[in-house]
Amino acid sequence: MIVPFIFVIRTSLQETEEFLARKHRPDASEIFRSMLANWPLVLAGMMLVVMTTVSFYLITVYTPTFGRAVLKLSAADSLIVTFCIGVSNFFWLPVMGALSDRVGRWPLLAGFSLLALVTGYPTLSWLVAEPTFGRMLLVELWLSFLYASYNGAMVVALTEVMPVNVRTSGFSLAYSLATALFGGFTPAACTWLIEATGDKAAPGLWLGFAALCGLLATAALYLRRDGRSLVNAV
Amino acid sequence: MTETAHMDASLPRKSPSKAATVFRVTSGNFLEMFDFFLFGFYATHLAAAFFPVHDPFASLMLTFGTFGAGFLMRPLGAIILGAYVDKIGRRKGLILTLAIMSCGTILVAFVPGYATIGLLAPLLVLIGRLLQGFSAGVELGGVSVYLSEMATPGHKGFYVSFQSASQQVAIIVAAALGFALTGASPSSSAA
Repeated sequence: MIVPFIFVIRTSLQETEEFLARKHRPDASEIFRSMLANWPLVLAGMMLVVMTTVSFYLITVYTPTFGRAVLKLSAADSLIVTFCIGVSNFFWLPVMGALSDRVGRWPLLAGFSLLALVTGYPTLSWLVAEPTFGRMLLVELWLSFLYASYNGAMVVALTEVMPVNVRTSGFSLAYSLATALFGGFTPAACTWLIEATGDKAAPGLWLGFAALCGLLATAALYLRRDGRSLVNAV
Repeated sequence: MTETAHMDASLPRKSPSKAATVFRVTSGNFLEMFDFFLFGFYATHLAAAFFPVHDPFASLMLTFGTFGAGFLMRPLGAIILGAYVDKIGRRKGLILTLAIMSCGTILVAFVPGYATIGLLAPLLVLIGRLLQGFSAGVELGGVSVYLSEMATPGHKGFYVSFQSASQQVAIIVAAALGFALTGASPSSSAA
């Protein structure tokens, strides 16, 4: 068991200087009130995460299932694809995170949600038209590129848009609501969409919807003057 | 490509202690996600061991209920544990989160099957799953905020991206482990 080992590692962490430097420590009721007052921010943050959580579930859960069911891939083959996705994500996340440090968060958020909105359905249609292992790997790597590029800028953006005294709780609430409501439902939504439309590429529509959420949230958070507009408004 | 190469050259020259801190804070994140994926991989196996097999419908409903309840606990954990992290501190909050996660994991891992202790088995697994969901609700946020606050100025995006990147390591390891297991026994390709 590696649990005790990780426990020791985490105990060795030090408090962040930024937290130590803060004089005011809000109590629980103050945090709850601040969350209520900041509900538009939590909502926009949640929509920002919807794009991440849906594309993540699509590439890690749904597409391997598609590979097994439609392509009759062996378990070993889908594990290879999953492995490649992990490596691809691991490469793009820090690269795009660093890029967002240079060009700003919103160009990446807007650019990659727009790209997912436009290319999500066509790429899946292309895969469905001639399902082969090679095409599936290409589609998966493309979706992984979109997911990781968006997410590289998204996570840090979410820590920045939340007011500092509710930074962790606001971030976590927005993130977990999106995961619980949208990410967790992705396999069910994909199955239902395929059933309802008779189109095996229909999960691309679900991805398109998620990308639209991300795009709208980016606009709501960043379009007015500067990145802090919605934060200051409430 | 040239842009990537250019960017890599200009990445922050991290002091060893910063890199070590990133590793230390994301290691717990890795555990949370690894555990989450394992539960998914072995869900049917777990369902058979912990839920009454003589009633397939009840067994299925209980399994779905256990999954769903884990997800529903996340927003609750986000508010309650998130408030703790924002009030008491990042370090203590992350330790508490990992402690709750570990209790949940240990419950799910060591509870005897339904055949041995009856109804208590699915009940304990449900409690374990609820604890896991409760802590998972704040784990990502806690780690992200920690990374953003310890980052060197102007490199927040790079530092925070290791929160999601550490999850990818969990996927890579889980896939490699699964590959090794299926490779060892070709007959179990249905898993």
